[in-house]
Amino acid sequence: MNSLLRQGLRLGSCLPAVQQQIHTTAVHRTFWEREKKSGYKTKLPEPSKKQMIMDGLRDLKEEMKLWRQEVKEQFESDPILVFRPGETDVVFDFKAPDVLDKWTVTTDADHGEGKSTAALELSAAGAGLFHGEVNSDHTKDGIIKRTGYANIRTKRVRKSFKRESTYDWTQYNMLVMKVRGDGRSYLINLHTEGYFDLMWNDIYHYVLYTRGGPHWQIAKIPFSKFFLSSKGRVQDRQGAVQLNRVTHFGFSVAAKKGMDGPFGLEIDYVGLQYDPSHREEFAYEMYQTPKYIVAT
Amino acid sequence: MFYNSSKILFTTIMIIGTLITVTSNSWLGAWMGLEINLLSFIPLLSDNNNLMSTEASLKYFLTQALASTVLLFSSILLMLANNLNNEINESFTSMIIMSALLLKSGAAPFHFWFPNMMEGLTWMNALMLMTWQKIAPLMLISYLNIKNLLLISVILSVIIGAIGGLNQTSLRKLMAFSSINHLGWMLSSLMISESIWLIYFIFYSFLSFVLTFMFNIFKLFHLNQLFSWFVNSKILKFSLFMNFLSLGGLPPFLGFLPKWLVIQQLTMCNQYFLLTLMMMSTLITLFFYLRICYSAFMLNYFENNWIMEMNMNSNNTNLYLIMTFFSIFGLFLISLFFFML
Repeated sequence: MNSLLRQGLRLGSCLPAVQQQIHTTAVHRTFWEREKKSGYKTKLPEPSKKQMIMDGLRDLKEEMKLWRQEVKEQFESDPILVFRPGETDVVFDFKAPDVLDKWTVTTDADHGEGKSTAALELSAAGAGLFHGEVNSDHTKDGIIKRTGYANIRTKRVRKSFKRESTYDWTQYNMLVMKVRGDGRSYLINLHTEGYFDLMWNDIYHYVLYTRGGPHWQIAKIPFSKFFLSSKGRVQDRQGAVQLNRVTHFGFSVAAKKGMDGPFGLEIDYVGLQYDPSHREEFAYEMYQTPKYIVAT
Repeated sequence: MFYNSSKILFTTIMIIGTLITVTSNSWLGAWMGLEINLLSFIPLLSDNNNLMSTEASLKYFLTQALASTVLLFSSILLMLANNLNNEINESFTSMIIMSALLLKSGAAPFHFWFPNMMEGLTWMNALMLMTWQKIAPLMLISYLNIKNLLLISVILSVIIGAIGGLNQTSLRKLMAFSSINHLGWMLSSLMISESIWLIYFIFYSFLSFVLTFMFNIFKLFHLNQLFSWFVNSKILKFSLFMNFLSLGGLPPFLGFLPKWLVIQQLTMCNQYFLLTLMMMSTLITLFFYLRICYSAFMLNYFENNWIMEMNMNSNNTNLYLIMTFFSIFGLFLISLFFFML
């Protein structure tokens, strides 16, 4: 999407908000995607070749260590071969000192579509606090219908030498989260980015209902309840989430139906569990439709 | 399957495609059969409720179409160079044809699409991919006279099949790496004689079918499920794991026979280095299977105590038990049959 008037962007962790502008290019209602970010890529200036070589050499040592560990794991070949009912394995927590680098915070203001603000910090209780303010005001340019959202998302998990990889959660069937919210409903996003452009925006959603108040709540959500959507549109043809292809994990909050205002979600940990009494494979029934007609 | 007319159509055309390939007497006819096979196999892959099946069929189409294109162009080049005759000696063009055919069958070093693709298939489709889809490319490889590339492919296939399967927990990926390993053995049997290849292929298809049949009945996709699923019937558990070991080539079972034949023939051709390498990597595969079976036989996991989901009726059970019988005692039965000749 080309647009007029873009402010100069500087390197660094905080980018100034892009000035809002009117969209001038046509909207493409196609499935084809040119790039993974679908037009929402922030163009940062590329570092010089010398800088890239120095960075590469510096990273080489760590990548070699990671690779040696992977080879050792492959030959040790000791995968966990049983389901462990009732044990929660924590995947994301906020204990390590550099953990905030693993999360990316985005709002609608990043690309000039709104005025929301959000930040992810470590709270006093040692948990991650995702807080800010969602605002559904926007310039009425005819392209944007509604706005006012903020998201956090983990960075893509990688193997050695920056190869992209996926999480393997096949031996679990529940997502367990210890959170303390403010009463809002947040959206949990499981990104299962596929190989082809049609599947680049495959995200499985479910709602996290928070209670507000000073007490922590432990939300246990089975993976069978997640529904598939792509770029925000819930898909007609649904299927269970592919647990061996999860690429990112994130939360979203929106100013839906006039719920503008401040929000805060404190996350202590996100973990996985296997519950043998939960036998549901997928919560949404797909009826047999005539051939070549997606669910009517 | 027989209630679905599209499946009948596509399966028939898939079989016809392979038959065209193996009965053709020119490279063009062979390519035609491969294309027909490909085009009819893809609707079979993408015809289920799983959302990954479209991705799997797309990946299959892209790799196989690339291989077919290269095959067509290099076979035309072959004809042009040899005045419209087939050629006898090794040449660069034959090597290109060989590479295209190795890509089609999923041999290393062209195997990268194979395990990834198997993740998105149902068990019956996976069985088709592992067994029937290998016939045509392997027959065509037997018409070529390249020693070096075939040897490289054999060595890489057995090693990658062994090492790749080491840390896998997904059953489909495990079967894919086992298939790559067996493909290495089949390619080496092609160097010896076609009858040995046929025997190896038939036995491998039979064993794959038995295992896949069991996995399909119990809807097993993950190694974790193997341990906790059979708390009710010990016979099924034992038979499943003995079939596993049979596929790995452990001696008292049927799976050892084809390997035995290949080992004997290779020794008679003095191919000791190749043979040692192949046996060592098969031992690695067997090590992994044996470890799973050892854990499964010795330990019981009663925490996951629920009702098994299965569609096991009397037809299924009879067929499965007969096949298991042959898989476990087949080696002795075949030697009896040999003495009856």
